[in-house]
Amino acid sequence: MQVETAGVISLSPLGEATGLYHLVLTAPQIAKESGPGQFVMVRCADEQSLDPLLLRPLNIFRYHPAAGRIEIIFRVVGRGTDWLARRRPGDSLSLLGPLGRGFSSLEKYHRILLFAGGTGMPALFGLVEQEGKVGSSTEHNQEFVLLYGARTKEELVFLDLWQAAGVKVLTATDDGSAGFHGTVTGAAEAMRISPGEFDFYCACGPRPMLQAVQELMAKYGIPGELCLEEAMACGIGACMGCVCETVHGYRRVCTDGPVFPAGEVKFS
Amino acid sequence: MTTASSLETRVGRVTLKNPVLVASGTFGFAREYERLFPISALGGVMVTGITLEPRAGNPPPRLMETPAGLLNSIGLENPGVHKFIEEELPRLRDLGTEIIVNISGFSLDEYGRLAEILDKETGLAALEVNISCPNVKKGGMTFGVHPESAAAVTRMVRQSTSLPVWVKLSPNVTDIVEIAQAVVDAGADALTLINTLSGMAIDPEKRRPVLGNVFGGLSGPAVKPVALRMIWQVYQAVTVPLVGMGGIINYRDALEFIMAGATAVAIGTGLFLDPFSPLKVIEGLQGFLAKNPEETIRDLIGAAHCSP
Ligand SMILES: Cc1cc2nc3c(=O)[nH]c(=O)nc-3n(C[C@H](O)[C@H](O)[C@H](O)COP(=O)(O)OP(=O)(O)OC[C@H]3O[C@@H](n4cnc5c(N)ncnc54)[C@H](O)[C@@H]3O)c2cc1C
Ligand SMILES: Cc1cc2nc3c(=O)[nH]c(=O)nc-3n(C[C@H](O)[C@H](O)[C@H](O)COP(=O)(O)O)c2cc1C
Ligand code: FES
Repeated sequence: MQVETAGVISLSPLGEATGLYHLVLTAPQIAKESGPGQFVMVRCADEQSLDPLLLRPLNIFRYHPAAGRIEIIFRVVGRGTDWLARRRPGDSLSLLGPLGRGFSSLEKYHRILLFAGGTGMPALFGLVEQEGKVGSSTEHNQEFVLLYGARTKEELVFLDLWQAAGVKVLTATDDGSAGFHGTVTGAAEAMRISPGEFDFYCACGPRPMLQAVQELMAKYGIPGELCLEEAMACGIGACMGCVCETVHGYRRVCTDGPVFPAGEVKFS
Repeated sequence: MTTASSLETRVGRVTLKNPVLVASGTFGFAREYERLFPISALGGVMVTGITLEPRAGNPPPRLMETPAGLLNSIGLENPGVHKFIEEELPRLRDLGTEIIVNISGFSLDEYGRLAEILDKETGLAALEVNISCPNVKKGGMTFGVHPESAAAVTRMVRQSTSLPVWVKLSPNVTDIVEIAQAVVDAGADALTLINTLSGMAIDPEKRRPVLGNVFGGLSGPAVKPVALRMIWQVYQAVTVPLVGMGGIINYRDALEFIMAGATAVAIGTGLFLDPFSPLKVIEGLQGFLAKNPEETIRDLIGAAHCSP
């Protein structure tokens, strides 16, 4: 974990009018230390500006230790992400990271179901592309199925990358423009998962999705992990600001998470 | 010539190698920031607020960014004084900087017990008494808003410890000078100010308050002018040293507080913009002093009060 000045290599809009962007950065230290499900805090304001004041947490989509690069996918939702979307190649950014307790090793599992909702998708890609670390999915004789949901077809991004990584991808959209018309849990039920078909799952997305996923998978008795979001200030565990409620009491999303074992997080 | 000692300052009996501290609640027990920079570079660490019993804190969400500010409703989540002494204090003692323990009670007795328990420990520079807590025995009225109850807390802590007693003032009062005077008369060795300003935010879509606790405390650059005005007034009214805080993010902010009358300053929310901000403030102060070799930081305390 450190503060690293990253260089913008490229910043590209994804799809049409989705508000989604793909950011590629040089950040050799962070790239070297990253693991699946970890994130960075990004200062999204000009040098002397106080708007926005706090750093913004963003998941690390891909990390390339050898090339010293990391990639981020983000959606413009407010002032910080709007500022970020106006960067140019050659600009520098101040990052704090890598942060958080990411996903546990999947080595001992064989059939893994991944649930991604919107900008939760990037948190999961490291699981199938652990460059220079655990190895690719095929080497480990693992099978991954990704259930990827978004509002509309345009917002389902990098499907090709997932497929190239050997992952079977099933999609769901709120408007029915691609894949299953409805939620990822609806899609999971429609594909009639049988208990025992998967031995683990990982999920990242909006809270209502995570809650529905947790309930559904508990029904099948399949263990898994959930990656959460919460507003953050320090991002490193000092301020106690980012807690979520768990069966063990309040836990910091930035350091005890963002990934928590399924069944621990209380969603009500 | 500017040497390290030109930054040395004294808060009563406590000598600080430089006037830059980190504010209670924003720095935890220094475990996290220790991974980013040597804590020994700081003038001191004001550790997260400690209570007699462990506290779970308030329901989330606990944070909301506001223009140039931060609303928080952490609710004093902490492991309690005994676990603090067992698990955090031994490491804190060895950090090579002054450790100030921030204490919060929900009755006079609790403040007294905390001071007594911590009095037995070595390696502490001072106690910082957070009087912005509700008095559960008096219907939840905050101790820090009345001169009488603020003085009673101060007296209780004063009687229970030989450590320097720094009392942290709440800005949520009609007349901060009145409270400051009462607390000094009751035996405070120094005053620290300001704590956060009470505030709230509403989510128009949800039609509900944003914070799980409804109310939170506002900090950050947005509160700086208020904090500065309060330091100014209190400096004119009392003779004990002041530790100023509220929205400091760079060395010029720190200079303003010092010139208004602060003997030392603390950075809280500024850490969240830039974890290195305390170090940059120290460097900036050093650079400022280097321009005038005859001067030390001590010469600048209250400098803005002198008529031209
Ligand atoms: C660990 C973690 C990883 C994240 N990873 C990604 C990612 O990979 N890609 C991505 O696009 N986004 C991600 N987010 C969400 C992202 O941090 C927020 O969208 C961002 O902080 C909004 O900043 P802003 O200044 O643009 O919006 P603001 O002006 O601050 O807010 C605009 C709107 O966004 C909401 N919002 C603010 N902060 C958050 C938050 N932390 N989570 C959800 N909603 C929020 C506000 O309530 C408001 O409605 C992640 C969040 C966390 C905690
Ligand atoms: C997240 C957070 C937690 C805080 N916790 C405490 C606390 O436990 N005890 C206390 O006396 N003050 C606490 N404060 C107040 C700060 O110590 C400080 O007085 C205030 O934030 C103003 O300084 P700043 O603008 O530099 O943050 C907290 C502030 C923040 C932002
Ligand atoms: S953001 Fe400060 S503890 Fe998580």
